[in-house]
Amino acid sequence: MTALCRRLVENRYRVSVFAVIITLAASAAEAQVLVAGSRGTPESDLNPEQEQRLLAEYWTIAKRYGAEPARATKELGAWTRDRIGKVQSIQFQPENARPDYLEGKAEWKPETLRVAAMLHSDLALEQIRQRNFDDFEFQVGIADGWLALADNRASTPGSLRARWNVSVARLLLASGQPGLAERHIERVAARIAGDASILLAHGTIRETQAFLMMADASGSRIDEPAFATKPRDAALTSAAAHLEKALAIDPALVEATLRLAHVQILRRDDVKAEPLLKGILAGTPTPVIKYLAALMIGGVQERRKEFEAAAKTYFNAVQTIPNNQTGYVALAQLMHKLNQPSDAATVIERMLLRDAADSVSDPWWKYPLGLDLAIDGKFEEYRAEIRK
Amino acid sequence: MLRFASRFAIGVIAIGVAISTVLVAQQAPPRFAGGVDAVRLDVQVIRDGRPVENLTAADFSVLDSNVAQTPTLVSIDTLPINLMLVLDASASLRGPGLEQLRDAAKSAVAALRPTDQAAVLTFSHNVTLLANWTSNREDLNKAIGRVVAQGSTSLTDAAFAALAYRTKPGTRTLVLFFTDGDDTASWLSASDLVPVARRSDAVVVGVMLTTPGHAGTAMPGMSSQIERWFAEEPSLYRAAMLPLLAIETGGETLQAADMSKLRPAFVDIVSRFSHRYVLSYTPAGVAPTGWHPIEVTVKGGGDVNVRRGYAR
Repeated sequence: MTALCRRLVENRYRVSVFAVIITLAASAAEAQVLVAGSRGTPESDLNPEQEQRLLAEYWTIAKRYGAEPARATKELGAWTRDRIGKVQSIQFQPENARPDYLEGKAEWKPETLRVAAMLHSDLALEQIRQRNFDDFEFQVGIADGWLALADNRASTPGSLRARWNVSVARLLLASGQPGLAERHIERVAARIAGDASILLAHGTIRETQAFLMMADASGSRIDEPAFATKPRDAALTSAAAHLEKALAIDPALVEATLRLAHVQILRRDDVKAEPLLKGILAGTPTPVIKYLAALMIGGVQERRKEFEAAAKTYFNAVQTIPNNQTGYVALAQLMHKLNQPSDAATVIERMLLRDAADSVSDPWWKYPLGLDLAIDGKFEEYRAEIRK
Repeated sequence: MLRFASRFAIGVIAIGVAISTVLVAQQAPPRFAGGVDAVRLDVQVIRDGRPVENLTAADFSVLDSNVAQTPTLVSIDTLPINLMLVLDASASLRGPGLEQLRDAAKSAVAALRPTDQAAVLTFSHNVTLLANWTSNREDLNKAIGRVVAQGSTSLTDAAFAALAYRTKPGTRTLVLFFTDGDDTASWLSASDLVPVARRSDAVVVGVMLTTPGHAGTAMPGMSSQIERWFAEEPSLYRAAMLPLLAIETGGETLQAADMSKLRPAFVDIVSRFSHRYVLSYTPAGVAPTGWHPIEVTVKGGGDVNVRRGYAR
């Protein structure tokens, strides 16, 4: 472990700190790591005095984040990955709580660690804006490491660390990176068990992967269905399992119910999907959930050739959110199926000629991206929380 | 606000009327679409890689449901073209590629005859009609100039909207469909589009940007095997949708290596469409409804691009 970390510090390998921090947490046998100026092999090429200066500089900036976030972000944003990595390597990171050691050292107080975490969180958000996912993961890894330490490596469901990581995973999904999102949420799920939001995010990511999956192509060859269906079906099975677990913890998670129903539809198991969707509509769902549930029920009815019922259900979807297109498209396609192209054209014209057609975001197109795309607001909540 | 509210009311009424039509349709047998008996075929004959010109009706042999028909050749000069430009405007087009797409679209419009008209439909997460049918080049160019790249890709929904959109009788419709990526936001399944294409008189020509590793790039020829797989698992093989729509409607699919190739490709597509043959016949000895497979051959041989059949 120490050798690996030294290589990391020397930046010979572009292994993200995220991976290392997670690995550290997983290695219960290695109780203590990277203790600068104490027992063990020195972890960097700095002498102890230089190390302390670097740490002091780092924590000065980190603590400034609480009152002057923009300045602190700008200052630390100018640091190289190598320099930040050095701080990580020389910072004492106890495997278990060490109140005797931590007492009196402000930088190891949970509130200070969380402030530092949010500083790196902001740097990560800047990287994702620049589509630099490598540096995004680096900053996210450090932020998660601080949040883990702030929780004495015992983060619980609903903790800031749990919620923040869910937002990170959802941000990756919404940024069109379901693979990175999956990798991230898998690591989090392995460390914080029994969190319904993590399970919902995990299920959502796997559902989206299945939904968007295409047969793998390399060169001029393309996988035949026997191979191509396997990863898709595995993703659906995984999605269903995570969503069911989320609902077992919190049956009131309507989005999990909706997504589980959609997973069943993708598995062509309408018998399981329909009661879930009807259950949603029997409650008091938000317009967005009602719209999506209506569309999905319409699809099930259409598949069963219950065209009258499907038309009414699609119409209900249009009435629920009249400015969105998917309800119109579903209805028009149904008319085409019934050999009524003229009526289908009327509906499509109505859809296209509406002033509002392009001014709003249809929940259906946001659905694979995670539905709630107001993730910036979530991070603002976390910033406010650490300033309390 | 009031204007918007009244428009919404009109929209709901229209949909309500349409739904009642659906309900009636379930009780009545399918009717002969439009009540027009004549079948029109847009035909392209390729020999040695080039379109064959100066053919007469006598050069063509047409089988409708395996029954020989007697086609006449319609002068294409009497049939204005409707060019439906369906352009991918998703976020992946951001950058210089967008300007190249605009340039290609404007060139396609410029290649039309004065009597022809065009419409511009773009798709990202939404499908947007930037220009309704018009022969006014200035309006069309302005609309093309308004194309912006944003959001995800509702490719299938856009293809449906383009095929379902009404055109004037007595015209020929070319749907020129450009995309650089994969569908990420459509409600409709790719397989929903095949029956829609079979009912349409439009010819679909797809232009796809070549992307290494993308399934669409691996299936330019659309083998019968991939077509079977598409029928079996439409979602996994949805990259085959555009090539399949082209085959169903007698069009073709082109792959552009990069965006700079779009302009000549678009112009060539319009030019070639202007020089196709239009055959017309009144079906004889075939069922009035159902699927009618069509086979067209030409004296002297050659590859014939023509719709696979029609559904009534």
